[in-house]
Amino acid sequence: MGAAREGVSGGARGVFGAFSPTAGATGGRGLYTAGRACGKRDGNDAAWAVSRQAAGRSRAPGAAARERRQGTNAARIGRRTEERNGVALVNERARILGNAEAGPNLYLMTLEAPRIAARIEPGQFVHMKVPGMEAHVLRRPFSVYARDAQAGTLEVLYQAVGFGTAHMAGLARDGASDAGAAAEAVELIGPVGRGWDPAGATRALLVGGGVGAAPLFMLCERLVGSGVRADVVLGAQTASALACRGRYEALLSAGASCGCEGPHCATDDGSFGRAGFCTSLVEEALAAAAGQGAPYGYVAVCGPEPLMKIVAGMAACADVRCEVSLERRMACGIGACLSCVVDTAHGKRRACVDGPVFDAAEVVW
Amino acid sequence: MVRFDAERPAEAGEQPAGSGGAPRRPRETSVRMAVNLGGLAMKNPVTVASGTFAAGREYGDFVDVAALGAVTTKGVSLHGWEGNASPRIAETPSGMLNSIGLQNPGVAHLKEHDLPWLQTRGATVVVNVSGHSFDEYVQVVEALEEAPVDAYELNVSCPNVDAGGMTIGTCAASVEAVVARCRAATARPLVVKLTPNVTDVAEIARAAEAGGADALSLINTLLGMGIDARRRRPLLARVVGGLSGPAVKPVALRMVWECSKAVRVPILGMGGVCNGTDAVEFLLAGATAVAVGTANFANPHAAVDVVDGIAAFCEDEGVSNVNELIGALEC
Repeated sequence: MGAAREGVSGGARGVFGAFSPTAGATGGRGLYTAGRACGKRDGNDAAWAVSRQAAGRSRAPGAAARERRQGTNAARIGRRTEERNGVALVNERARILGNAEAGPNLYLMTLEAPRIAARIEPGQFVHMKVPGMEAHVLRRPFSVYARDAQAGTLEVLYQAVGFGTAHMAGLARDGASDAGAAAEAVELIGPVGRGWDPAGATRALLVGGGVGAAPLFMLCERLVGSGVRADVVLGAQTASALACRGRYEALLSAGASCGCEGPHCATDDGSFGRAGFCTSLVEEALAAAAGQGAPYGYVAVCGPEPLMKIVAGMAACADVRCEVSLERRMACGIGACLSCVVDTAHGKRRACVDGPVFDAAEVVW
Repeated sequence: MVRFDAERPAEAGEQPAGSGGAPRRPRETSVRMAVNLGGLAMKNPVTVASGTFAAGREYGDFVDVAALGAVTTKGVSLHGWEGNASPRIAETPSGMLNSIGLQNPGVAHLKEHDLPWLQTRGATVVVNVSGHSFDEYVQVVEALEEAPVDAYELNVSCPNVDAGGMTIGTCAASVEAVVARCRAATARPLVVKLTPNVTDVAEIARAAEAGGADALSLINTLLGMGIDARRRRPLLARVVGGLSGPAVKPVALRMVWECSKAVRVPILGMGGVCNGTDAVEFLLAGATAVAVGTANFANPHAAVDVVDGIAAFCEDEGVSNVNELIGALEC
């Protein structure tokens, strides 16, 4: 990825000069703090307009074909998940097998959910009903981090950002339940959503900010498993917040035969890897790949919206197809209620079933 | 098959009934469950609340839509509306706020894509009709007259748009006028959905009846708002939205009870119905049928669970026909 450079890349600041690390939609708490998407544009509108123009000049390959497949605006609203990926939704009761701290305000929950574990695709999510909080009537959606189809288990990495997730953090903390004690369980609707689509790219760049590293992991497994060179950039506030680093390291070293290395990490406080935002690593990776004559065919980015917006702009400028995974408040989670809509070039789309993965060039940030 | 009723929590490890593949139908019962809502024949007293169930397709893996008393579709307008800015929802104590803004693709799309699907599934269909003008309501009804629709629910009560719905439903004269216009346009059952955001819902109910309504449905959502204290911002982009869920049930029951004494037409009651017992409370208060709304989000099988719960209640109480419960409140 080229020689390491001190500090935040000047190139990134040059193109997206309006970006301030502490302002904007995250409410002044930095790039990696999970924040609800407000649906409001932040001060980067001007910068984004530049990169969208760049995207418009040369459409990413496959965009036109994908549009034809996806149909018209109005017609797409009514299409079921099953009609797109052929897998029916289930509502599965899932025992909590483990629920452990994974970092600062980070938790890893392991669930016994064989039916969903068998069918879930990279980038899809489960819509979770958590017991013991009946006065909070809505389910919470979680991307699936990893799954073991044979064992029938899946894992979810989450932060406590509100009542539901704070309550989750307190469930089944003693490990596996002992005989006689009632096992704690959740209900999961899944597998939901349109997952990552690397579409035959031979070289891919995955960028995960904070907990956004988790929804990319199954994609990374899939790519490495099919011999695709996957480069991974992870960013977090501090070393202990790089909760997925170990798994990515193990996965990518196993995939060394296809040229995989990394992951390349950055922390705000410099406690691990590059000091500063991971966006500098992304910019370098894109430039290095192009310089080697082996450009990326696909970028997948997941994390706080300011990060995804910046990386999407970088990918557009580099003329590389990019997907993002968007998070919105959800009620039904299955495409019926229209609570979770995202503004796109084709009108409002549902983050639950038309997403959560979207073509970055179609998102109106 | 293990009996699984809405009131009995399943144990961990036990799969919620119906999660094994086929969409759920209500279980067999000897209780007579059929009701008639102002000319709309319903095989059981349960439908879904407009806006929570789209046109049924998204719930197709969970619920056999033909097995419900009826499917009530999302509010449809003549040309389609884009809906409100996000965030559109916020969770509140035992409920939620929504300001979806009646996003819908227009009546032509409903006729082409959704009604045929419901027809092939054999569902009983109530189409919720919205409009920004009296003319628009009539035009939507006229556009649907040759389509497979069993009844219309006139949405004169949506609190989420700036013009139209909210204004109409708070004024008795306006309600009577729009109902009369639609009455002239169709012979099908006309259900008028009332807003609770009025001083005297019985007055509005009488106006709807005078305009020619065959039935009333209530309540729509209550106006409310939420605030994020740390950010000092409203939770909804549109600031004010509609409150639904268990928190509103007491208001809904009270209004159903008041309206049932004010009019002779039957009532479709809704507002926080989560299980069979909730549904029975509405029947006792004077409703002929109930709608399940917000509960669908936490439990995609909720509508079927409510049918089963009503049947279980009747079996336990020695009620052989659900119609015995309608208005049977003792007071």
